[in-house]
Amino acid sequence: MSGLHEVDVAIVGAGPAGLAAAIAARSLGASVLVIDEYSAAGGQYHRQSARPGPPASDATQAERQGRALASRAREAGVAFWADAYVWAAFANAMLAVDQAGMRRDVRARSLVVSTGAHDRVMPFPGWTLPGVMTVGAAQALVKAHAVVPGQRIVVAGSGPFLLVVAEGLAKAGAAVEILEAARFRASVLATFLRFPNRWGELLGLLRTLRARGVGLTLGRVVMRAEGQDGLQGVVSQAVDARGTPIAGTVLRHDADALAIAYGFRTQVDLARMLGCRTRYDDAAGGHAVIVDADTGRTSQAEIYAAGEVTGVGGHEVAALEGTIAGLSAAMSLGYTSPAALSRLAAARRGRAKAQRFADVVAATFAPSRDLALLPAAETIVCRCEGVTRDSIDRAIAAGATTASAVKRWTRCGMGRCQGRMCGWGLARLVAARTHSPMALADNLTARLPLKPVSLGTIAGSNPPLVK
Amino acid sequence: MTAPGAVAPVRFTVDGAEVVGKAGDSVASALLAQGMRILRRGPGGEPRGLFCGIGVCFDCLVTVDGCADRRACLVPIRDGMVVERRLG
Repeated sequence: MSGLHEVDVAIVGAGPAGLAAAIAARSLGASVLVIDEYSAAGGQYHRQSARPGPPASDATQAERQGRALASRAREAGVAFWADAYVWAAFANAMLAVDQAGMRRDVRARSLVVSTGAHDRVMPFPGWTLPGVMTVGAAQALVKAHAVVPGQRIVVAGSGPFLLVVAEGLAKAGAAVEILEAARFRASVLATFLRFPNRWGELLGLLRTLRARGVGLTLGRVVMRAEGQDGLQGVVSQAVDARGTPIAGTVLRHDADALAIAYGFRTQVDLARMLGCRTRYDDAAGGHAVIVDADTGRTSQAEIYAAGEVTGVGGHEVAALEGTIAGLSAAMSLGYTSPAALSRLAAARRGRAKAQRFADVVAATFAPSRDLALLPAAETIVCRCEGVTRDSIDRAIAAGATTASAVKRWTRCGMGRCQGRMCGWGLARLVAARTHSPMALADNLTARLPLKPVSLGTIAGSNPPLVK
Repeated sequence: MTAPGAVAPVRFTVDGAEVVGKAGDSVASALLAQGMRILRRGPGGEPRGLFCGIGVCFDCLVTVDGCADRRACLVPIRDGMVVERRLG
């Protein structure tokens, strides 16, 4: 045990928001500690290759930017704890951290929560088969390890992220097909046309996909995954605007990998444990930490939030929110610089502009109503505890009206992942069955420890895990 | 010696059999590169593999050097590492 680490500003999560917050707070003179669960800074967006040596010549812009941001932070004197996660938080920004099996405690005068988001998944028949993974998993394999998860890959679900990941998989040599659940409406396209600065990016992506022979089908949903000990094929069906499958449109696709996600789900467990108030916005990832847009301040004193935890908006919004929160956190502790106020003002303007586009994207890919009907009676909904849809239905029939009531009844969402994977699907199911709003149904609460931690770590008696 | 630009091989074992991965692989990526998709069995005995790939879902748990429940997607491979899957 290494005693209590005291710091002006602690930042949890080293993605675009956390790195920007760290650089901003440090630039005003505050001492800054960044805590991140991975071995390299950058989060999902700026994920680095894990291969030793200099960056590859084909490193993406996101990877290069991440490397530059991380070294800028380090050169400025930001402390970085890698392989470290916060498993509990207490009043006054006290954090209990597990770093590779070692217990480390932190007390921060100000805290920035930038824990990001993860893929949002809906359970469906066959989704536990090896070879079925999230879109983020496929991307991490390619970006960090240069490993392609299959030779014939279906990328499905919803959101612009599908295109980006499909491009990476195709460039790495896989045959890729994209099934996008959304059916674009004219009004959405008209709105998109108001953002000409985004056309180039999208057209470039579509052109690369076409050149690589990647098919893109709109309004089609993966109904089930098939295989014995691993994925062999995927069955899809066209859906209408409500997500209702259309008769006579079933297709089977040979595939040895399926990458699937319906956008992202915010990771607000730490913020909620700290008592930060949230609002509910299903299109923007579910629970979102309520912040004052001008400062990033949450409902709790000296706790700030930035990035996807305040509502999924992409890396640009996240980085600007990080700058706002980092500057505000340092300024509230008395640090400042002549340029601080103008930097804050510029970041606020930039954020407002980037958020307008993020809102269009969120509305375009808002998950449809009938996705909740994907799991069959015998489909495992809770991967950790093996809870099936029919046992959830029995709990609902017996009176459960929220996800957390079903959790107590069935153990759905009570396993190691604390409902991170099944929570949204469970809530959607409850909301559909009981005709209640997601804001009420989606109420699983992560409990201490936020992620599994060994007793040896808590007691501070563990030898460090060999990395 | 490894040629410039080439990635050094890393030798480890999975359930007693030697597997050769590349420096920078996680346990999960090294196994997937060998076509080994099954990492454990779920509560009903059904096969499970890498799912979220970013340390969130805890579906890829394996035993590494005697330490149970390590996330295969996060643990980097090392020469001589002993990985065991719970397939029973």
